[in-house]
Amino acid sequence: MRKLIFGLAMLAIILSCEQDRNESNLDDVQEIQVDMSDFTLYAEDDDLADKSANATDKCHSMNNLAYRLEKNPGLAKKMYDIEYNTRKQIAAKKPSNPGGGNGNGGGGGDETDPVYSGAITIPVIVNIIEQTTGQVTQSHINSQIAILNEDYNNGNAGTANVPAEFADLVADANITFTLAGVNRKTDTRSSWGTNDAMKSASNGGWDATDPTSYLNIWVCEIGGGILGYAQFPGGATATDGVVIGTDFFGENTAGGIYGHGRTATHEVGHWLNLRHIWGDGRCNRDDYVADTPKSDGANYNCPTYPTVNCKSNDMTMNYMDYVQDDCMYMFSLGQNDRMRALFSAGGARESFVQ
Amino acid sequence: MKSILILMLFFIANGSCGSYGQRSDMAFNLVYTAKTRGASIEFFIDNDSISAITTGYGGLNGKRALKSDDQKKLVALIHSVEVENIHILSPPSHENTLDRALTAKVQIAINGTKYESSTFDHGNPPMELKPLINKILALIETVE
Repeated sequence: MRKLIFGLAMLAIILSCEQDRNESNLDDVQEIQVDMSDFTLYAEDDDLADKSANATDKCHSMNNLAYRLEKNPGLAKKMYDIEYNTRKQIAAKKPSNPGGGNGNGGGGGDETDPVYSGAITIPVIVNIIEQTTGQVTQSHINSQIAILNEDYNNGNAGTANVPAEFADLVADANITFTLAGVNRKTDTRSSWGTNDAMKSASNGGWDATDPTSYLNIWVCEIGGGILGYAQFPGGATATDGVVIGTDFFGENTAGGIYGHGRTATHEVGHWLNLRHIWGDGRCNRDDYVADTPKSDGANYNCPTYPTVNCKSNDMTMNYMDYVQDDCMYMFSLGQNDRMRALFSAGGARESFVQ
Repeated sequence: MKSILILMLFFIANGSCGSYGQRSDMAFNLVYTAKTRGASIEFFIDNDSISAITTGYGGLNGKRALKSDDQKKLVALIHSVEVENIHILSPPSHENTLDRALTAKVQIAINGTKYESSTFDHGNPPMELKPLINKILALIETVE
């Protein structure tokens, strides 16, 4: 019986996919075309599927989502809807910026940009689980908020080093983070792992504080070589936010070259719907941002310019690459559009600007 | 009839022993890597030795000889993998897209020919590679 129900669900998804395409055809006439054919939750699978001579599948990405639904019903559809909404807004955006991230090749005639353009303020709750009392200092907290504000307001001094090739693409995201509260408890655990145990009071952590109004940052010992991790928009409300390893939170000598607060910048980028800049796949995979060059893998440490992959220079200094803290210092205009689309009417983070 | 049966058993036994001996002599080289921002793991195993180099990951570093029992087990595990297809194996999870896991891959060289897998989450390899990867990780734990 379960198999039957699941089979019917899959059929419904695939049919709805075709319907979505038909709806988008209607949109062609009325406003803008939204191409979702390359969208997938997980890039690597599609790379592999393409190699299996499935590249002409008209609705491949949705089939992929259908497959994922078995494990996490609802999540894939939510993420698909968020992506559709993001692309629709960006496609309709007025081409006012050089290389302005118009990832879907459209152009709207509307006088008002659909992508949210106002100032954005995000109140932050810091949920600390420290091994000893006072291990995470107020200075760590304050510096972390300051670094987020630098990076999301184009205030990183390193930006002066952006190569000429990318200089016109540097974005001022105009997002301000304010410290709204600090929760603090001690626990001697040395490795909380990445299964979100720190986000639950019943597991010894902190429950999230109203994720529709606050960005929750958990600070704890993650272990396993992980500096921090995130959750995309559309995920479970109870676990919405980012987790940062204690040594990598704020300006922190214990973190060494990763101790300058940019793990949070990177993870908040994911929280605002940004993918890794190399698209988590090979050259044929994108991060869904038009003005970031394609690449086939992460860059590490502090690369020298130019670093060539997929026949173009990597934007290694982008916050969504894997370089060390001092060597990342820009979001692109296209990434900015993608983040801001979340705050528009009907967007996944709209509640922050209401 | 009895003599035919004995003859058959002889050929079967002879054939399988010959084949086993051939596998044990196989020259192989395994390279397992896993990386994320701030941490990297490199494990190397060949017919004679096993070594590990890590940064930001618990300080597993060192080299030691590979015991013959382990060498034979690894050879058998390598033979259980369709090496020509490891580059198209689908990973069972994608935690690395949100930095929840290191991005791993394994390279298998057999008699000089290299095969490289698709990437997967460190700790959760594709089912087809699981026995081999588990063995590699278990062996590495013994390096000091």
